[in-house]
Amino acid sequence: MSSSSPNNKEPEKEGIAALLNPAEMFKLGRLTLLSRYTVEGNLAGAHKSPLQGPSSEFSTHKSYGLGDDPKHIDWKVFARTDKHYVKQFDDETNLRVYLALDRSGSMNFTSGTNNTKFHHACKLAAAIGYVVVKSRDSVGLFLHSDKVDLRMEASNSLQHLNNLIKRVLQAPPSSGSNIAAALHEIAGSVRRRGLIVIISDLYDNEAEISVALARLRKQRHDVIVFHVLDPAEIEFELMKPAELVDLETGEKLGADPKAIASEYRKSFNEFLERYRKACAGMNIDYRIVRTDQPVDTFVRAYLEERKRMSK
Amino acid sequence: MFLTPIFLIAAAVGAGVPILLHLMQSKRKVTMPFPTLRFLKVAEKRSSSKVRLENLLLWLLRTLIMLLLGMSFAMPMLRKSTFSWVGNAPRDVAIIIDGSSSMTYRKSGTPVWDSAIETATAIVDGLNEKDRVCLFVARAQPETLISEPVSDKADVSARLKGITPGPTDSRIAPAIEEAANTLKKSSGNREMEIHIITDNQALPWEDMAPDGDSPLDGLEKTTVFVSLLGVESPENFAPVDVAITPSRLQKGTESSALVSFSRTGPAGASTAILSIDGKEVGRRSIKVSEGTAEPATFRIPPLEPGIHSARIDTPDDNLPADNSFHFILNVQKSLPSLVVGTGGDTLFVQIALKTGLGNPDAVQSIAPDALAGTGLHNYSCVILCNALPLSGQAINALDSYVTGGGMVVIFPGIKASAGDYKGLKFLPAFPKSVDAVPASQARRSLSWDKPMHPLVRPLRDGSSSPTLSLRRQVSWERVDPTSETIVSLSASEPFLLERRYGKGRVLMFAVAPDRSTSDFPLSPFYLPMLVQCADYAAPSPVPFLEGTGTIVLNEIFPGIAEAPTVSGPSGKAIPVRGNTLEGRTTFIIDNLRETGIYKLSMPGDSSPRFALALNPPRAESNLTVIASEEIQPRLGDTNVKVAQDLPALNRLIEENRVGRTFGEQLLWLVLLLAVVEFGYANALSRRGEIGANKVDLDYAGHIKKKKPTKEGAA
Repeated sequence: MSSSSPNNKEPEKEGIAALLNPAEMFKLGRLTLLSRYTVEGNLAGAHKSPLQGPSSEFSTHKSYGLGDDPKHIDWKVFARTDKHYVKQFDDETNLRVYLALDRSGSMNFTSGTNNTKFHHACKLAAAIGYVVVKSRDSVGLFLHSDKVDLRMEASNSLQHLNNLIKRVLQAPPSSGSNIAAALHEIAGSVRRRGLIVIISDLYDNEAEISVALARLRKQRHDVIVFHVLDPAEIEFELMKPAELVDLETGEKLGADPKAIASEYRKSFNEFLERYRKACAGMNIDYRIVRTDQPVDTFVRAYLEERKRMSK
Repeated sequence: MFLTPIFLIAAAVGAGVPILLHLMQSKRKVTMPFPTLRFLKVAEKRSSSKVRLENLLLWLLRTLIMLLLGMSFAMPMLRKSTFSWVGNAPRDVAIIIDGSSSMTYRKSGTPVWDSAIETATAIVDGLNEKDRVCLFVARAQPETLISEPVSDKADVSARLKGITPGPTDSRIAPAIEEAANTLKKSSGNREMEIHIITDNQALPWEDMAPDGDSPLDGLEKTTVFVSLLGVESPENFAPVDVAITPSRLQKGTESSALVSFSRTGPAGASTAILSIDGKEVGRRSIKVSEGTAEPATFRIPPLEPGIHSARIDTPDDNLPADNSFHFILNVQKSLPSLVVGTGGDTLFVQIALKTGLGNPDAVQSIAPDALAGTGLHNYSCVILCNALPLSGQAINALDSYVTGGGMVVIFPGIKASAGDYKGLKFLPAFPKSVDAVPASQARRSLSWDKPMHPLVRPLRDGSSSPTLSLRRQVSWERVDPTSETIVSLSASEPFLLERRYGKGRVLMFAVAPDRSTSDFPLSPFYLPMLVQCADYAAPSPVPFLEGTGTIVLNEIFPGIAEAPTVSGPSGKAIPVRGNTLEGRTTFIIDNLRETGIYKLSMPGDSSPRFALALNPPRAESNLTVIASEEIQPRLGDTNVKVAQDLPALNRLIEENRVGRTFGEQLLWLVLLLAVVEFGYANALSRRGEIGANKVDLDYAGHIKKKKPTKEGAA
């Protein structure tokens, strides 16, 4: 039977395959997402842990005591001091990455040829998740709109990632949005230090979001903010007068884009600049992601830059 | 006022188009989702007032464009007169038609005159009910047809059809003065128009100097329309003058006619034919240069005694009125000269004249004492040879003779004193004394002060100046201011003087006719000069007249005492009226217009004889044109509008009466505004393009730092 037969349809892709093609996955598979800070994992890994553990990285000496394994006694120190000391080493653990994915109404926007912001955010999440899982780190998920709608614990299996993505794709953007509340909820849920990747358009109260971000940082999480935006939002190049409908509130506004484009861009730039400054002040990686930019290219560029910065 | 007010509706509709489009565009707005309106609201708040102002400006600009576009098609008229939009003021119109013979010039086969009448009729037809018109014809003297402005257009049109062009030239200025005087009498708030309908000939305007006194001075609110209906480059070739040599034609002798021509137009060649008594006697090819033509000499064969009619014809052209030039030839059996003197005083003169004229009977001689009793009118001239002093009766006879057209030639002598000359009032100069000339100063050369004078013109053969040897010389007490020196001695002292006196003339030499004062009788030009004097003196009938309305027959035929019968060239009898003043009766012909040869018969004559030849004024043959722009300076500060044809005149009249349309100017304004609108709208449109305040990102999602744009900074 010919493969071109209409009855022989290719099965619909699911999971990560629905968002990333093999070529993209091949490129992403060789990348790693490193935390810039100490993280608390539950498995041995490549990331610095706050605990002392059996790694090759020397940490400090400690007086030999009851229960200490004699094999850790530093005999050279004993020879010099005639006292028993044991060597302690930094623990290395795995990284737990939580993806905070915004599914608010505004994420359902597309200016035409590109994907919706939500779909692009999903692709970005899949790419990050794939990089994390391939590094044997764990990835978890917080899907939120005005609250956390879906929570998936971190796991380092590819199957988990597939399930995660499947669940995400099954939950299209809703109407409401309360990013700050969602982030507070995430902060309350994730007790152990990890990496929080926020993927959102951040259309909410900026001050409240900043407070939420500060809380995450205070809990010593490594935080990355991916600000997903459509080119039309940034450049506002509409030609004809149009009646614009707010995707979250349903509010309508007639506008002559040509007349207000300049002021719009100015105002939008100020908005971006506020976030950039706030994130910079909290040592949060803040990146703008355009939906017309290939995800794999962006992730690769970002991760390589992050790797360079970590050295 | 609008010529096509229907387009005002289009203007009104057009003015609504921008707002209509705006409304339609508002309704056609597409609805599209947008992530958030917060930035749009901020942007709109910031730019709303500015945008509103820009939109208002654009709307105003577009509305203005549409409004002006519609108005320009409606052809708005700008009234000339202030407050005339309240209503058209009635007009008094004076029409002046050039009645000169040049108006018969054929333009494309149609006489200009016909176009002039058509134009005048159109002017009259175009008048409103309350308008009035008066009518003048510019001739040599203006002819007033309707002196008081009338409203009866039918009457004026009928009168127009009755006017004919005259054989004379015309003068525009007197006609304008006449019209201006009539219009000055108009009362009320009337607008005034003077229409001058003429050809392009410059001649009628010549007595109005540019920037000189205008005949319209003192006439306000007047517009002068000048219709130049002739051709811009006329061509004409016409005979204008005939000089018969010798002027005294005698039986059996040949003579010649020197014919001058007038030429208007480019160079070329033409012909001229001389006919005498209806028979062609000569034909010449005439070389014609631009604006001039060479004179031609025709040989006149010996003719029988009597008066003959003669005519020079040129080929038919666009101005047929001047193609023929009529003149008459008076051939006489003989007409002697009378030499007055004694003994040897007259010897040289008699010999010279008898020899020179070839007729012994051509000269008669009498003593000074017999002068008073001699009928001088039987002589062509009276030559006084050292004949003074004269008696009072002789002086009176001479005075009467000269006044009546005779010629007196005076050779002073040594017999007379200075006082003897005082009684002769007709002398050109009065001698003081006759003085001896030193031998060292005896040789004197003669110079021709008037080289073209008929007396000396044949004597100038191109040889060296003749010289005389003087023994005695006349010293002049005074020279009459009306006399002119024809020949001078040594270029400073008069030798031969001429003075016109009455209808005759007096010639006076500075030497005696014999050898007592000089060797003049022995000089080679003594004989020809005396012959010239005799020829010059020969009384001949006036060979031709140029067009004139009234002639006094006594001036042409001094001897007539009874009313003659005169018939015109067509054989039609011409009325002659007698006018008696102080016992003297003169006979006058009025309104003499028909050109050609007139016949006259005195009571008792068996048959009429050719009496006079009438030609159109030859100045009219010069068709040099006047440029349109030369007319305004001649008419002063008056508003002058010049048209070349009837449609142009109608347009000017329309512009003057109704106003000038500025639809074209409005269209230009619309174009300008459209360019401004295009530029402005384009600038506004470009302002919204990406570039200003653009967010520039790198691959890793960093915002690239950049210099703020001017707009962004604003």
